[in-house]
Amino acid sequence: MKKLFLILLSSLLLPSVCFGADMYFTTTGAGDHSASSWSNSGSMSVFENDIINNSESDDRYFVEGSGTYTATQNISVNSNSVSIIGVTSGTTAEPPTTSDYAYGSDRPTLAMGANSWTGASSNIARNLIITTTATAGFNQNNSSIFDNCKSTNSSGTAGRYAFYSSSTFCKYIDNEIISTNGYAIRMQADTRLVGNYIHDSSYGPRYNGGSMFISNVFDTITNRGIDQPGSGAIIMNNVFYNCGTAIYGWTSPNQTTMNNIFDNNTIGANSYTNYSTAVYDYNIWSNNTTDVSNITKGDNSVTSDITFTDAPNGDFTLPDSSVAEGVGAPIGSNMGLTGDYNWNIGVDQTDTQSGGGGGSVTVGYGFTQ
Amino acid sequence: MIKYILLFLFIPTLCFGEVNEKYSYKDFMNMSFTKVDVKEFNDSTIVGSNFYQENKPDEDIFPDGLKGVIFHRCNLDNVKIKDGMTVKSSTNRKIKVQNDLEDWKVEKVLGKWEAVEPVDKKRFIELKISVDAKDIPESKLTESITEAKSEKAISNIAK
Repeated sequence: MKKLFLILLSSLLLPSVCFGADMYFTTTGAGDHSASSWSNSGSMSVFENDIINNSESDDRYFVEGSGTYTATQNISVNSNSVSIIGVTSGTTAEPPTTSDYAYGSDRPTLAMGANSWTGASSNIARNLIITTTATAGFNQNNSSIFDNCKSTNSSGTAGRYAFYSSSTFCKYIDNEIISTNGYAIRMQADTRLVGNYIHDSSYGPRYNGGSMFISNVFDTITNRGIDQPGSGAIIMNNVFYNCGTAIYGWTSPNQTTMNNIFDNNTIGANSYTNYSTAVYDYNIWSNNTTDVSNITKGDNSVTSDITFTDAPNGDFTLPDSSVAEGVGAPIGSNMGLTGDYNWNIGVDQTDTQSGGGGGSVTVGYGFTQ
Repeated sequence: MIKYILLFLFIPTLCFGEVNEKYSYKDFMNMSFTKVDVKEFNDSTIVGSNFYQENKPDEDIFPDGLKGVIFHRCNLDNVKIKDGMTVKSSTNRKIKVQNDLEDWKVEKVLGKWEAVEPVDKKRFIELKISVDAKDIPESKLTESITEAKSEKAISNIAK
């Protein structure tokens, strides 16, 4: 009977054992420093100790914004599926929601110095500012997500990384990335880069077989904007401005490079091999010393002098009446679905019905169509 | 009873001095303060800040004349600890890049900084790279040894 009671008791307790914990961190810590709530928030020493030794799957580390959290050792995350989320300073929500997320300078700063950060699989880093000089910068393992983070590797040693994927299927979304003398990102196969601002670096992302680059800005990358796109890369709707060679090297017969703007680069794009099946089209080539080398631009490319509104100050919008207007690939008539159909792209659509009406869709990627 | 309570309340200030708001919880990596008025530091406690000086072991970054300055849980790697500084729960490793283009902890032997072990020793071991300083290449590599090791398979495909 006693044994049965214990089994029942343990089955009741099991859910609380299995589910991840929410933990709360501030620079100073508060109350009993247990990280169980904002009023008992943990400080950086509690954070380090817990994430290295005790983190478990689905744990969420909410870190209050504005402050600096200084690492005093290498941090190696103990578990897969752990999230570190920066939230706006002064929030009291438990747990915080997306409306409490920190942006811009309100994000917490993780000052790593020479210490390394080694994440596990499916870790999520969200709303953080990271400063580092470590060889691999901020390093996460396969299927991890880097979202709304700013990572700067300011090392004087060449070849170091701001972000690092040590395995495949990582996603980089809306980050600002700088590696003064090295690479912005070390990618692995099947990585996704969407909406990132990569700038003032020696190199942009490196090695990316099967990866996708959508709607990013590559600004002032002195050597190579994308270094070795690799097999099957999809490069669409990006801006390459003021780079050495915007896209360099290893391409493949199944690479797609469309709807990008190449402006003010020494070389727009080159390739070891000019593959006849690789798609390079609907791009704009503007003010580059050399537009392409060993690449065929495509029938619908535009070579013309465009001027961004204020590129040196980070404004990559196009002025009214730019020649870039209306020359992108017309999604809806020439790509994929054609005929009498409606469909939705994203959530901001007025016509939610499918199968009738024959409506058209205009999407403002890279440049307008 | 009251005197014990009062003593308890005063212990933190006796041990740590007043928290220096201007220099606590900040990222001052590679910055120097030698020209800052020493009064900004004296008789205060600096908590949780990063003063790391990359590749400059024993860098003098604070003004002369420091008095009663406590550094609590700071990154003071490569920072010269001078008279008037008390270091608690902080790091003060000496770190220098070696010919393998990696950061190594170093110590001074006969006036020369000698490598002791890699800062990221765990990564070296995972990648099966020697952590013995004797195995550091005699000439400078063109790519860091950890990166060369971890990317070998991919770079072979690229070529």
